[in-house]
Amino acid sequence: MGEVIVVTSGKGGVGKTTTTANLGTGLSLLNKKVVLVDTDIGLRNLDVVLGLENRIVYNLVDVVEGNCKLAQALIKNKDNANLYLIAAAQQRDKNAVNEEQMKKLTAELKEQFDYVIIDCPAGIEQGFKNAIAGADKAVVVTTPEVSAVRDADRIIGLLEANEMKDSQLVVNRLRPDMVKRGDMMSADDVVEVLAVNLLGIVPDDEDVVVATNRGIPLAGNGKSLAGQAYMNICRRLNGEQVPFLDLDTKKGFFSKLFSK
Amino acid sequence: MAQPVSIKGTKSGIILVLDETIPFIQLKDLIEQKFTEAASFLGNSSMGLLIRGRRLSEAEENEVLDIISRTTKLSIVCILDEDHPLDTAFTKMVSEAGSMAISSKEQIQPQAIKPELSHEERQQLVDQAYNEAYQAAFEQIGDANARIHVGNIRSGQEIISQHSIIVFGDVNPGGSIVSAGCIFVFGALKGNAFAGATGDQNAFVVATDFKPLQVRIADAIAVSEEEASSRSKGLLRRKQARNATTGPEVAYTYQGAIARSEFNSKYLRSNQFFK
Repeated sequence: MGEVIVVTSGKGGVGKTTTTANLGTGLSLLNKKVVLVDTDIGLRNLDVVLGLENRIVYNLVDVVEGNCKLAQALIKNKDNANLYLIAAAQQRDKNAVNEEQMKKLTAELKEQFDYVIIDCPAGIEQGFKNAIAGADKAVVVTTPEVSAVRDADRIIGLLEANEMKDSQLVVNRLRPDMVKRGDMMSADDVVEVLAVNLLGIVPDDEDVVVATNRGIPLAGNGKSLAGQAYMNICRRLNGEQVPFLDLDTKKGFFSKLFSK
Repeated sequence: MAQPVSIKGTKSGIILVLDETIPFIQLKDLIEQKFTEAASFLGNSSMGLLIRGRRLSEAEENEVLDIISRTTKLSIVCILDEDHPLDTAFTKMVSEAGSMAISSKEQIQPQAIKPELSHEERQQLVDQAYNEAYQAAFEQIGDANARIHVGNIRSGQEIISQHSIIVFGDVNPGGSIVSAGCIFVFGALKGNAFAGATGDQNAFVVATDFKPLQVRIADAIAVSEEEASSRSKGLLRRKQARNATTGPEVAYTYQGAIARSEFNSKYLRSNQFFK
């Protein structure tokens, strides 16, 4: 019996989809069978981030409406046999699916997979309700900005109201140099406001943009700090005790020159 | 007095002004007539009743309540005495003990009490006065009941109660607490607090970490004082604030505006608390 995890944030653009793709990739590298479900109907892009856009035949709405079998909508990942995707429909909107249908679907997926990871759309409307309907626990993604933290706070409140008490937090796009200067909230500051467990800190990293554009998630890529951070998050989700990365190891000018 | 019976409405209660000279039997009919006329205007809310101009016995009060429930849709929550119970208690203490108005127990000197009373009687008198004073202070806090919330109030969440509210946890920005009575936050108050929502100016807001966006008490409203410079500095603001005051603070109304001070024994002994 697997676990259903919803990746959510409230605010858009903080890295829900990137985090979902990396959690999926990382967990599958840990030999877990994982399925990612994109619930951002009408604005899907998890398939793009995973580089699977061209393989979509059936989508989430097809499954819940019974146009296809569940197995037909599962898109196998390119290099990783343990990772599957159920893409969102692009031609419909969030109201094409309801909470009951999502509960039924996630219950079915749980039987077959170790992890069911749901990519939640921004906002708190029907799409959010659908995404959290069948979830066992939540990973809340935020950036260290007051606006994102405010929305994360709202989301955690809504999750608590829906009986999900132990949300875990990912602080994304942290810039250690700015934190040091006092121009950015530290992960501790964010945790102090939100009062939830910290699952991981992901540094701001150009490699993430490159990886997204190429359609190959970073998790497992030891060369990238963000890749390591995502892999650590996956290990922690999997129950391992992993210390937090020292993001402060800023490469000096010379080491930067020689490493490239 | 032009009319033997008149009704005045306030935000949370109605004031019934009665003539002292007319026998209660006659007054009863007039009260009934008055409330029948005003029934539609008064609506169906819950209110407190204040009787002014005449002292009624308990039986008479009950008759008045009976009339109100028969003629209007109001529900009367409580009957308020014109004389503040605290004042009564103090007046009693002053007259019987012959000392000045006192607000701290240590100041009561048994010697000041009439010598003909025995020690036990004196002690009893002092205790009784104190119990009444504390009872009055207790009532002033809104109600003997309070709503207790354990956990954080997050952005978008709101707690509303006609009783005082006690929160064990933080009230985050965007979260809000609305109480007809007082608000006590054992944690950081970073959101909005509205005490005395039905018009009680004596209501107050206490928090162990007092950094609200907005505090409202009855008609008064206060917005967090934030220097433009600290806002631009972003997070440093939090650290600065931490240096400013560390202890619990309280907000209360003072001359129609909201005042803020440290919540300590000095405040508790001040007129602000025992007003």
